[in-house]
Formats: sequence, C-alpha cells, structure tokens
Amino acid sequence: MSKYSISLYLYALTWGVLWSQDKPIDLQPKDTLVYEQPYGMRVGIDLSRPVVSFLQDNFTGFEIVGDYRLTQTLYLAAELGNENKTIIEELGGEMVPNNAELYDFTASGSYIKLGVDYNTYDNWYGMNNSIFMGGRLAFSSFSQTVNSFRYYESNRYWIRDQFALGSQEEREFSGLSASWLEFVFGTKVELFANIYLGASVRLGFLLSNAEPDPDEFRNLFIPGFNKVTENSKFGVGYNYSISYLIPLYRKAKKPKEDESTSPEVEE
Amino acid sequence: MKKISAIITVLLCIVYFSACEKDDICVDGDTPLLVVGFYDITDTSETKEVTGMQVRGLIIGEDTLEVIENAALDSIAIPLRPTENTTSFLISQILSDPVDTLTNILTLTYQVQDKFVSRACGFVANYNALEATAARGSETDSLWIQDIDVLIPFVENSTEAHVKIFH
Repeated sequence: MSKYSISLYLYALTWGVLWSQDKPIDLQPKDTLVYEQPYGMRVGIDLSRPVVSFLQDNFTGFEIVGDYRLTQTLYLAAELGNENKTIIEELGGEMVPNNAELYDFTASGSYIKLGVDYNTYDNWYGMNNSIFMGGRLAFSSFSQTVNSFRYYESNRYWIRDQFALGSQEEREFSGLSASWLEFVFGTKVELFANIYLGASVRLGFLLSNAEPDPDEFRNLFIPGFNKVTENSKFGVGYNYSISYLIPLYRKAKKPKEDESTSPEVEE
Repeated sequence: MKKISAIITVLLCIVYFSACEKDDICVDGDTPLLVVGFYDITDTSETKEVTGMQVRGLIIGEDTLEVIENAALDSIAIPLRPTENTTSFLISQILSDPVDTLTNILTLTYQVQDKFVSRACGFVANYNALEATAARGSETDSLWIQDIDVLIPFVENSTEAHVKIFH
C-alpha cells in the first residue's frame, strides 16, 4: 500500500511541476535574431576597360559581369565582353636601333566566360562580402588584322634607319576562335546596400586555339584571354567590377554545429 | 586562410614570371642573305678565289654604296632588297689596285614571299624564282664572270650557296 502511494505521489508531483510551468527556465537564452542573407542576381560592369579605353588610343572594350547565388557559398558566374586592341610590336632586346618597328596589328572580338565562384569568406553578422575562388570555361570569337609590317633583317645594308616596309595593306584573318579554362581569385565588397565593388585576377589555360596559317600570322592576342605567349598556354587577366544585386529572396545561414560539443584538442 | 594565402602566392608568382617573356627577343628567324660561291670554269666542282674581291650594292642613279664585308674570297653572302624584285651588285676583281680593276654587275631577279616567324621577329622576306645575270660594269671592263648557275631558286636560309659563279 505504502509503495503504491509513494509512486502515486511522485507521479502527481511530476505532473504538478509540468503543469505549473509549460517552459523550462532557460538561464542562457540564445540569440534568436536570425540574419537572413540576400539571395539574387548581381549584374554589373567592369570598370577598368572603359577607363583604359578612355586613356589609351589603342584599346576599346567593355565587360558585363554577373553572378547568381546558389547556396551559402556557391555562385554561378559569367562575364561577357568585347575588346579591340591594337599592338605595335618592336624589336626587343639590347643593342636595338631606335626605330625598330616590326609590325602593327589589331585583335578584335567578343568573349563569354561561364563558371562558378566559391566564397571562402565567413561574413560577420550583417555583412555580405566575399573572397572567392572560381573557375570559368571561356570562349572567344575574334579576328586579327595586320595593319602594316616591315621585314625583319639583321643585316641592314640597303636601308639603314629602319626595316624595309613590307606592306601597309590591311590583312585580315577572320573567323578565329579560342577556348580556355580560367582560374579566378577575387573579392566583392558591399559598398552600399546592394552595390558591390569587385576585383579579380585570372589565370587562363588555353584549351583550343584556331590560328591562321602560321607562315602568315598567329594568334598573338585573344580578346578575354589577353596576350598569347609563345610555347605557353597560360594567359593572365584582371577586372574591377561594380555591380548591383537584384535581391530575389532571403535565406538564413544554416547554423553550424555547436562548437562547444566538440572542443578542439590543443596539441 | 592559410590555403588562400598559398593560392595568392602561387598566382602572384605566375603573374610575375609571365612578365619575363622569353618571346621578347628575336632568335627564331631572319631575312636570309643570298650566298654566292665562286667556282673554276675549267673544273666546275672546284672553288676559285676572286683576286681582291670587292662587292658593293648598286642602285642605278644613286651614289656607290659601301663595300659588303666578306669572310672569304671564294664566297660571299649578300642581302637582296625585299622592297624590289631586282637587286644589282658590283663585283670587282682587283688584280692591282687601282690600275687593274675588273668590275662586273650581277643582277638578281626574284619574287618576294613574306613569312611570319614569331611575335618577336615578326615578318621576314624569302625569295622565290631566283634568276641571275651578269654584265660589264662599264665599256672598258671585260666580262670576267663566264657563267652563272642558280642552284637553289628559293632563298629561305643562308646555310649553303644559292648561286654559283664560274670564272
């Protein structure tokens, strides 16, 4: 009898406690204000190309940049551009006479780069900046025009002061194309709400390069890839972008696992 | 963060070294010189030196040009004019200076073919369909060049004789 009554008493006591307080007292309340990060599409332009176009006579170009946020760290990214660059190549090296112009050519065309950016930067509360690494598959369609050329001749018997003029007629090599992989390292910083300033450096690796007959000319500059170095598949580039985020929806960052449950062992 | 700084270092190194271009200096090609060999008319396989040979370029109506340096007396490398289809040279045999000098005119006709070599060298000229003729330098000179043989009508390098002159 007494055993029964004790268990009944304990039962009632437990219920009593639960009835009297429907929530347990939390002595260390967690921060319940969750910051929801903006997701959407960023579109912008490269700032360097219009500036260089304005400052230099031999270059015109523009680039449109864009990305779409997929997850907390991953973005789909693309660049679309057009460049027109004229290069006057002179004889290089030491002991070169004053007027050593060899040839003058213009590369002109468009390019598209598609890929992903991976944000490696853990933002503090409310920040939307990124330091990212990314990859692109890029394709360029372009033409090259030799505007004029002179015959390189180390023996200058007939004409002393410059190389003999070969031709001043434009020779156009059209329908050229190239594709390459690009490694991107860059950053995007939110200056004002939804306005981002970005910078990136790029390392390209040529996959394909459709050149003219090598006895006539070669691909020396590929729009988007920049200078092609002989016997090398690498190219370098950069951009400085300003872009606007079109916010589509907001999503909170998934909380990380509580660090206190798995303390790191100091070695 | 360590990973990022490593990547930045690698990237900067590549950007830095890509600026040191080895394709900045032209070593891949040159407009070739025409190599002329002088041979004995009696034994056409034997080379024969031209006594006191002096070769100058000739542009009719202009001043005489300077002597083209030659390493030997039985052959000479001479530059053709890539802007023209014909180039003439005064080839003098100096038996005793200045009394006994025999000057002949060697005229070469050809077609110019331009060829792209590389970024650093640009374009060079090659010469095709080469033909050679000889003439007296003046009324008083005798024609010491007796025969000319074009061995290689396509001039793209200067490694061997393109033209044989028999005297």
